[in-house]
Amino acid sequence: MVTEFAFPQILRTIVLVAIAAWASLLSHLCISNFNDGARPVFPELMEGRMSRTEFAVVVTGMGVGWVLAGFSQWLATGLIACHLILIATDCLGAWAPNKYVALGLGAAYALVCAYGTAGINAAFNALPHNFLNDLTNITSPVLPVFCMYPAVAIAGQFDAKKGIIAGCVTALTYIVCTLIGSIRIGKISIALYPYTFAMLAGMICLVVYAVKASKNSGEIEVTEEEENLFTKNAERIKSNWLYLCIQGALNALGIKILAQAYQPVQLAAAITAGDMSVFWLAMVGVVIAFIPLIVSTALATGVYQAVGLTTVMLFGTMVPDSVWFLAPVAGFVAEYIEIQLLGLLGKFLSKFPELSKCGDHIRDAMISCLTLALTIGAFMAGNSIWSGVGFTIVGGFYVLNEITGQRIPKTAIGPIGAVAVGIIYNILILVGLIKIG
Amino acid sequence: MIKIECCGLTATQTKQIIDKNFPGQVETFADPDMIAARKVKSGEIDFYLGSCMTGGGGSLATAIMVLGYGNCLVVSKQGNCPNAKQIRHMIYAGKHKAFGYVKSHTEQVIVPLVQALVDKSEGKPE
Repeated sequence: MVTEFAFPQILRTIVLVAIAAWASLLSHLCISNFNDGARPVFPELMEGRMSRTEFAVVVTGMGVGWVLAGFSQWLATGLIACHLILIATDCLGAWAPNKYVALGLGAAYALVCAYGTAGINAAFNALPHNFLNDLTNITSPVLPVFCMYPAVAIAGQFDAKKGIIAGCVTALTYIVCTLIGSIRIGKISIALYPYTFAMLAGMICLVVYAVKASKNSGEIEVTEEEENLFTKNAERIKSNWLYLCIQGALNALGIKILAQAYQPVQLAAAITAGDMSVFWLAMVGVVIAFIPLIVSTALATGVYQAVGLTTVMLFGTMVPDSVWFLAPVAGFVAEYIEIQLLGLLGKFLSKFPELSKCGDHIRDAMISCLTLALTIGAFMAGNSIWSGVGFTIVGGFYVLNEITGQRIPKTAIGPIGAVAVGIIYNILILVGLIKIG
Repeated sequence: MIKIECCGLTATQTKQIIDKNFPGQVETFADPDMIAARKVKSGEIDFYLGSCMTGGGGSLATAIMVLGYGNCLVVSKQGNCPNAKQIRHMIYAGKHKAFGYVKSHTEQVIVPLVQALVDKSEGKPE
């Protein structure tokens, strides 16, 4: 969990307000949205088959669960996730009757999030036992577990045997790097962060299997009608380049100063470990995993993704601390290049349809690994707050949620259970049943 | 005999369940989603099934863009899996060609969903 920020709250709040207001405007104008699943609904509004109200209801229905997921990500990491902000601005922009209302709603929502989370933090400090520190355990299993995602994706897409082989390669790399620790070349010592290299080994296996598989699959025959539609939509996205590049610039600045976080769980874990290279590598995987879904939905609708192909997040975090103010430039340029390449990427994907299947499995594997890591982390956090009892309560939350149909997403239930342990523990201190030294 | 494309995160599992429960009644395919949706559009295949984390997102994204929103139905959502009777009613109440569901609901959803599609195509009452 990240509790210390290099940049002041006021700057982070201003940037967050700008991000949310702009995203809400672009959703209102059907220029970009964040929820990839809701994107195909936008043409229904643009071409007049749906009224604004009908459209807003559908978009909101698809978004609510993700906003909740964003909130639980904040609980686990202390970072304001894109899902908390941008899914909500999709919906706010959809409901807004005109552009000014869209801008205003987005800005107001960002203020609520920025000060709401700050308020909850202040409340933590006022408790007799501030368990914020215990909650940092939630993200501690993330990197070691997450580096297994390529093996999980391989097992999901191909077969168990290939998955196990990749899993063994990943584990072996992890062990070797842990044993060696660091290598020395001349006077420079290079730290072999085990999770970075293990993830890299897994990703190499994934690429090898995917390339082999794509040789056996046919091309998609794109009809002339579709070809025209894709070209028209690519042109629409290109014509909105200024709007989108400003969004890219804001997003890159946002993640650099941690006003807003993309993939907050991995990001928080990387910040805590003091090794950003693992986040960059994880982001390379994320970019690959999302390209098929984002490119195909963008070309089919003419509506772009609010964080683009997510490269702005990668380049934003890669800007050195001393020149952090250059992050918007990096974001602007990255977004511009993405938009220019969109048509080419679309053609490439229709040549290799297996790649889009690959993207599905990578995203699924990433979520599976994160869910497991957050659940284990929540158990550790609960136990750290209150030894023994913590396991019982978090375990109870988990199994009861399972049996009653997973009403709370699996990624969220563990952290919520851990927070419950902290609250109960504090209540018992307040009534005098537990004495703290 | 109706033809069904199985897509999404649990494509393999979906295909196995249908093959086991509806031998001789349903022919199953597991093409990549971009190909599957186009085959449904051209009429070569009758229905498209897709699963994802939430039921409404990635599972139907390709189907919505190829077939249009009106032809797609979200059968189950996160935290809300309908029972067999409700699923049957949903199928009979609309004329959808593509169906999305949460991947962890695959086992509960597939049999009643496909049964309803088979019965409806044979003209049996709800």
